[in-house]
Amino acid sequence: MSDHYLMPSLGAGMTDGIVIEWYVEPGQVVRKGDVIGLVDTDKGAIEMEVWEDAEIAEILAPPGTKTPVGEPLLALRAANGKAAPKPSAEPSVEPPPPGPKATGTKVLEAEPVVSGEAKPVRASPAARKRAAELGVSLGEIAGTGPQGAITLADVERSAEAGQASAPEEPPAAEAPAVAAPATESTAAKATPVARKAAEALSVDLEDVAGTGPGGTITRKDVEIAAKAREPASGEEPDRNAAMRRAIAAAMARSKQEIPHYYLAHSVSLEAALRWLERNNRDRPPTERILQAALYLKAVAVALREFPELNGFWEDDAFRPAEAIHPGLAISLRGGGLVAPAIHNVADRSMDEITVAVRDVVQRARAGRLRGSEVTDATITVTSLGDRGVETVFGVIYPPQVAIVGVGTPVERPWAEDGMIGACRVVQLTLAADHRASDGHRGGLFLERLAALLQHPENL
Amino acid sequence: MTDSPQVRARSGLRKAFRRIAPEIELDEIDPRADLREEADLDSVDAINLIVAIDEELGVEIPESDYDDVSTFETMIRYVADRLPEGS
Repeated sequence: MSDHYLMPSLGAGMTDGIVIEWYVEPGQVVRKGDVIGLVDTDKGAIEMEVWEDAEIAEILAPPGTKTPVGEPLLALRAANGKAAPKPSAEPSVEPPPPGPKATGTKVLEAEPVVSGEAKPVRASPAARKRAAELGVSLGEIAGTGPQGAITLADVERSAEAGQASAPEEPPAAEAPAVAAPATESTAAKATPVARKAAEALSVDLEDVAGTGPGGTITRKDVEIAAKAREPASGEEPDRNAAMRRAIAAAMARSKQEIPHYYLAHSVSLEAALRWLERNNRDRPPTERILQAALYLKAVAVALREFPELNGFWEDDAFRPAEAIHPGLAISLRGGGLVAPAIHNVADRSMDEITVAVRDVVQRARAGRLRGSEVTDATITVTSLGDRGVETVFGVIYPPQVAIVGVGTPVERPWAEDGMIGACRVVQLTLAADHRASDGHRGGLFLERLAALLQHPENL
Repeated sequence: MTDSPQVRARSGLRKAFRRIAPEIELDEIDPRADLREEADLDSVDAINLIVAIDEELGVEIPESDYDDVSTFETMIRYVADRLPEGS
């Protein structure tokens, strides 16, 4: 008997998902934490991780299948050939529930995933898409790209060799995501947004008539092509509308159920910003510490002393989280936002947090967040960066119990030690669940956070 | 390659943008307006863009030069002037 990998619940209100792509195939051995596939949800495409070592026995839900949360997607065997132990048979490792509706459905045991960790098969997104279209198994292709990655050309070659009936298409059909020798004229056949939409909607750009300048394919063209191809089910995957509904459900529930209290505190950022400037002066861009990393680290360190702000309100009781995984609110250009977890922030260096933040922001933009990232956050941090307003009062993302806001730093007259001077000041705010904590403790938390920011070198 | 530095810079910048924020429609932004405003780049996107430009085109943009790359047009010019030989 084999165990099953079930459609994960990836957040509040998720009822089902559609597998976009499997990165694995029957017979392949996967390790705990491996990214094994991509699923389309109302929060966009999310990468699924496996909860333990196993061998893939069978793919039960091929790409395109709509599957309810908790229903089987894959049959698994233990890597040695026996059935994999049921994850639910390990009550000692209880993962944090991803959302309020998670009770009763199986939840992935999410493992912190370090950025850039190897997938079972290395392949460019374009290659994966093409392989899926051509029905070519990535596992059987020898990659010629960097570090043995499978490129679009590898896929096409393999398809040609294996299937005489494979549809013939000019190789310039799709610009590979990286390192294409494309000149301006070939690269401009479709706009970047159209390419992304085509990937998300599994539309082949070759099938799309471009109406843009010079026959360029626009996003609208892709959407129209997707609609035309849509089966009779009539369920059009309108990403923005779906995300809007997900946000609406979570925020309405938050404001209906959570008695928020709000605190704000003005803090001088001079010490912190000078420290950052000094540190970053001689570093290449890749190694520059981000302000967001500084705030995340300070919040996480402060939270060690305020466990009542880091956890979940469930079943009329507060359950403190075992780790500190702040979710970083990222506003998406198409509308909506996501707040993926940055794992174990208190224990990581500012450099590591910076790398994690840059990676997660880039993947959020590309619609490639991982399941653990969308389910693991234990508190939310919203930092407005340098182009926002002074103060943000957050709305708690249930079942979390707090959200920390960092406004845009502004230069203000500031009195200190009897002297007035110009000073860069930031408004720190806390919106917290009054069922789980009280304003006095919330105030002490902001005080602690402010104190930590005065000595960033100690963080 | 016989493409002019301008063409290579423009093409490389498109790739860099596609990497850091594939949802941005570069064709729809005003090349002479403030790039961060036009493309709605937050500070993390901005640093990711600088890194992607370095990786795609081999052009490093030091922080002191950020004012010289504040629009898409000036960024193309800046990058075109500094493309490594033989790239």
